[in-house]
Amino acid sequence: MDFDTSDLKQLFFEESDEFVELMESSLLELEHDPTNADTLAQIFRSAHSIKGGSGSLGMNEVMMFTHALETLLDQLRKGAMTADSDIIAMLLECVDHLRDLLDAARNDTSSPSSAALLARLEIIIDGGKIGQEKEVDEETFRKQVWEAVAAAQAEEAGETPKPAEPVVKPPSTLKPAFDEDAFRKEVWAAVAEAEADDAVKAAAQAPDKSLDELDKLMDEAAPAKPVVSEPVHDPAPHPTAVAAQADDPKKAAHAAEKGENQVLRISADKVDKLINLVGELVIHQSMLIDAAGPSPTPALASAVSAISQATRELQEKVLAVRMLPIKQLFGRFPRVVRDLGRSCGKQVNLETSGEETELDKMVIEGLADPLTHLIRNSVDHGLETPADRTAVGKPEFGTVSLRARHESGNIILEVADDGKGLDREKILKKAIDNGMVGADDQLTDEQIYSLIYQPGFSTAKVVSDVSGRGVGMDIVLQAIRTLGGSITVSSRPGFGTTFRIKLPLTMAIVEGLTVKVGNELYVMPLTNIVECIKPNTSDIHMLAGQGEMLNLRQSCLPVTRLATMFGVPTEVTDYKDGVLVIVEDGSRRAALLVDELIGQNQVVVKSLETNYGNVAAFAGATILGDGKVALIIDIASLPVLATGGTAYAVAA
Amino acid sequence: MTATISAPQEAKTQNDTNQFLTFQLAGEEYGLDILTVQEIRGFVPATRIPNSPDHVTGVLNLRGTIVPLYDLRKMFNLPECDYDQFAAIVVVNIGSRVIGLVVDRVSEVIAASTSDIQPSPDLGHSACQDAIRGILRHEEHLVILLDAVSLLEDDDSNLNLAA
Repeated sequence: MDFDTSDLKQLFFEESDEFVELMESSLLELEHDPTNADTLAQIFRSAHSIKGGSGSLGMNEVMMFTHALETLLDQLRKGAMTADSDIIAMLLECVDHLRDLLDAARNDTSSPSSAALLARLEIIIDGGKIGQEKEVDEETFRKQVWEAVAAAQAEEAGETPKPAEPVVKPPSTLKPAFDEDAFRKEVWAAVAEAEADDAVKAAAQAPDKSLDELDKLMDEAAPAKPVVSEPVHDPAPHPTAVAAQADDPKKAAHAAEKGENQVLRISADKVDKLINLVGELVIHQSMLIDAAGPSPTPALASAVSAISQATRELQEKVLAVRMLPIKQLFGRFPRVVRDLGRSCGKQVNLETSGEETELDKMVIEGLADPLTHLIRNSVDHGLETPADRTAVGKPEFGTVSLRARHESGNIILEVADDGKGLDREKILKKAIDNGMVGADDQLTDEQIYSLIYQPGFSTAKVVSDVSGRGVGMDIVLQAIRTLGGSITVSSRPGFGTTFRIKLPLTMAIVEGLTVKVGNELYVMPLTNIVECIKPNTSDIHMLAGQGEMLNLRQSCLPVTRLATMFGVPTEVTDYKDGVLVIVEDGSRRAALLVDELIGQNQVVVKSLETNYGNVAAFAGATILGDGKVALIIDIASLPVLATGGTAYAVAA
Repeated sequence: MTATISAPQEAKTQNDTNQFLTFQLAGEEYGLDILTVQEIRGFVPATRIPNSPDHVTGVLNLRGTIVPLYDLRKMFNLPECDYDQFAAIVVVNIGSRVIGLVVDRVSEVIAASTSDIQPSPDLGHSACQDAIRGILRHEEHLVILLDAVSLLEDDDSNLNLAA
């Protein structure tokens, strides 16, 4: 029985989380379109579903609260009231509170009191205005809500509502000093009268039963039929069961709606295991190709080719399983922008595009914090106040845009604002003041803007609650790095700033270039490689004894020998005998000397961290066709990229 | 190549009987709690990790998982040797970490009760002191029992990298 309930509970929490998200985004839509019937219906249905589920699982706090919420929402959807901005603000508060209640139920901690919110809801439902809230006696109010709940359930059960006589009679023994226990006992007693189950009835009427036992009895009376993805059918005439039953036609309608795109809930673990297995398949399939040799028999050749084809497709499809549209990530930002705009006193419009762009789930999770930070920065620092904006001829509403798209094997995300742009001089001055940069150093705009990624760097005059503490941008950079991506920024003073994030489509598989250094093999991710050249010795210059530099067309790049960096003995000491791989991370570039290029292939990224640990300069390992392990170089973390062509260190 | 594990010679009371896998290292016999041993493999060369500590031989592919290989001789400052055909890798599984230990050769599985384990004398070298769980007398020779968990913790070089 316990097992069944916990499965149901798990499902309930997952679905409720989604409903709450839906309620929030619908409420934000409602602000722009307060009379939209569909949106109103959607919000109502979400609250109703949460109420039904919470009731049948005995989560009384949640049920009581959603019931009150539902009452107001019903008024709105019937057109009896219009959702003005005050009401919507209140409803958003209610959504937050509902989240807290769900969390409390999920973690089995005590729920925050709903009394204040319920009181305000009551007033609005009664037709009062926001602000007319007066002191309400919590106990009396709770009694009223219980009555209302019981009356509503009676209504749903098909009994004609008798306003003068709700199914649950108000306790006649209500004393001034409210005794909650006695009240609840009375309620159960009254409920027991309605119960058809004699056993329960007798038990409930026993005066010495503790409330917990009564609750348990009620649970036991409702036969648990855990059918995970269908509406819960509960024939026992149990108060909350009644609600569930009445819910069925509504739930069925909801399920039919969902039926259009059949959705399966799968645990991420299962998918990860699948991906691992497919990775193994890829490796063994390439071993097979090697073993088939240079001249396989036609039969073998065609079989091997068919397997390769099928494996490639399987890999694509399985990886796609983990891909989710970025929409769910973008979904939380309208609220963030709205609240932030209000607290900063700025008018902000959030535009999004490319929500259907799909990303690996892990990547989406890793992006939540960095994107939030970038958006907050845009609103807080980038956008000017409405007054300042009109003063320079801009519209009052500032726009923050979030754009996502696929581009040659990568995902490009842009966070842009049409605010005042990055203040080049201010940043430079701050950097000089902090000793990050010498006063006479020649820096390109790009390099100056990159200074903002240094920890502790912030030119915000006022450290607000929101941002300005200077710990944000370096964390953003770190997070993007961890996802295997890079970030660049461009800005036009007076016009705005755009942050551009480039990410690989998936972290599990990497398109790599295998290179040989000495008698060791290493893999470099193709996304970081610009080109490979065979240099002449004359192209390399020693820079004042500090290091070597490559003169390549219009630019000078720092050079490093991988053999030296990795401590590998090699016979290739002269540049002309090896190959220079030009790599980049964001806007910084460098040249790496290797002995020779072996080939390009897709490699499955295996974690070094699980059993060993983090290794500087390496992002993981992979298994080559011969079963041997090769390390994958983490280009972004190579020290040589830290010296972006000049003598000081930019974001490492 | 995987070795099969034979039944223990002695059987004492259930509670305090432990089984140990014994192996040789520089002429001495060592032992590890069998519960930590996942499998035994023949010696294969590992892929070197650049700039890693001396005792980390490298990493191996163990059925698709990357497993680090530690050289116990180097960890205990024993003289180096060339591994012959008897050299083996003892794959140890502790918690969620899997690691490989290179040994000269694998001996057998023995059973002993915890009361047979004597504390090892404190020779003043704290580095590997914790790694030694105790000394066991078994059939006329001494077996130095190692504590797998401490072995890993002692090896703080790469664990710090992970932190």
